[in-house]
Amino acid sequence: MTSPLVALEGASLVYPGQSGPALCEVDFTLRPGEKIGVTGDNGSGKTSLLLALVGLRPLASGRLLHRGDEVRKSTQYHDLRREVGLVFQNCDDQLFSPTVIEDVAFGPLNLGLSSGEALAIASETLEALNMGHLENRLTHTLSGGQKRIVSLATALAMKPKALLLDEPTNDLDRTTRAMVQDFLHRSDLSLVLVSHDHDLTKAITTRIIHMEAGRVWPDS
Amino acid sequence: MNLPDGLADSRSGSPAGPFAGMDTRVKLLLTLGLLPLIISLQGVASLVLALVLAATLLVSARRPTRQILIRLAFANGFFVFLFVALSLTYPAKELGAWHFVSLDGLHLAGRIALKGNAMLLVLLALVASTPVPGLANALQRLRVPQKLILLLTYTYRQVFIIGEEMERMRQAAAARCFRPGLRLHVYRTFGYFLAQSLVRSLDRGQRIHDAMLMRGFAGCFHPLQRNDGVAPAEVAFGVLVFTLGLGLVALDRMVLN
Repeated sequence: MTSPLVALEGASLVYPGQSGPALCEVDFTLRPGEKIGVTGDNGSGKTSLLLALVGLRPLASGRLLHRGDEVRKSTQYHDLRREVGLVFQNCDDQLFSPTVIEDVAFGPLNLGLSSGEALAIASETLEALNMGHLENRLTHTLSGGQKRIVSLATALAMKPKALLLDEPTNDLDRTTRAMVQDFLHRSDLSLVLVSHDHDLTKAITTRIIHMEAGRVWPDS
Repeated sequence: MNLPDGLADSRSGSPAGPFAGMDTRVKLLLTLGLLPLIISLQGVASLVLALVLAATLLVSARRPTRQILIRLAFANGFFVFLFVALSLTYPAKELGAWHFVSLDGLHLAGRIALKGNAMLLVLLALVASTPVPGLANALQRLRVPQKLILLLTYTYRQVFIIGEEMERMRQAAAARCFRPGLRLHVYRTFGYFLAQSLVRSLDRGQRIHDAMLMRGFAGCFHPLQRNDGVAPAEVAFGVLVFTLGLGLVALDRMVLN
């Protein structure tokens, strides 16, 4: 069996000022090529699971592993986030640059690419998602659906091995949703898909887990 | 949302007019050159000429008339206040027909208003015809510190998000029959709007930082360089207008002497 791309072992996560833990002794493994759906009610810990998987929230206990090694140092976090991309639930958090092309090129520039290379990757990624015409648009003028797709492009431009998606089909019309579904279905990226859209989850993922009160259960 | 001109422009798409396509560095340098010249003018005649020059630039820029008039009305509201205040309070060698009106104060207020309007027209013609991303790119190429440019661009992005959030809160209140008025309940509600907006901004700041970390941000920004050349005609235009400005200063000094 291939070694996990990213994993949590006995991970607990507590937010300051909250009574219960957001994650409670969670064991979770994402292997290359695996596509995992995460379901659960609001507040069950789905988003916290994604944040914990990329080390954006410190664990109260347990371990975060990237390719078998525990992630502790900032360089290790950097390497992990280079391979595992996250698309946030709220697109306005993801899109912070004034224009679309600048936002999509932000990641490649941080990877040390030149402006020309970063621009080329950004254009190519937008084209792949049929959003090439939005390159020079100001991000705040995009529609909700366009913001959603451009958010996806910002993560894809990093050329990750895995994508963590938090409600990726919110705000999408049927055509765009079908396009995203098709893209994710055809993609050879590992996926963790948090969604209330059960049809999408069933269509894309190979395994579904259920979350309840910060704990992970195999889906019945 | 009531934003500075360039911001409002860029929201509605590409601004029209001949200055819109001009290299932003030339426009910025020309503005930076012209403004001190206008500030240094003393005589009313040269100030009027400066206003004419600025108005000519604005007319050539073909900016939306209504938008310009609104901006001018806002600025001139302040100048009206200045006229009233200075005419009543400025130490006078000469009093007007109404003996409490200082003519020196009126003169001073008039000069300030002329200067202010001329500067505003230059800014509206040259700077406001550039969308903020273009402005940031030009500042970057003029070697302005990166942190200042990022502050401008990220603030620009967030202003709209905060504005949309305020609008949603206003709509939510209106849907429950909230009407502004002079009541404690209204003041308290506006206080809540403001507080909510601050709290949400703090949360959003954290989430945006997360999003930046997810894309390899390690405390250092890497600007996206774009290489557009400056046309000789643009440089010639800049030099010509600046020379006209210098001519005004020379004229001003001659008249004063």
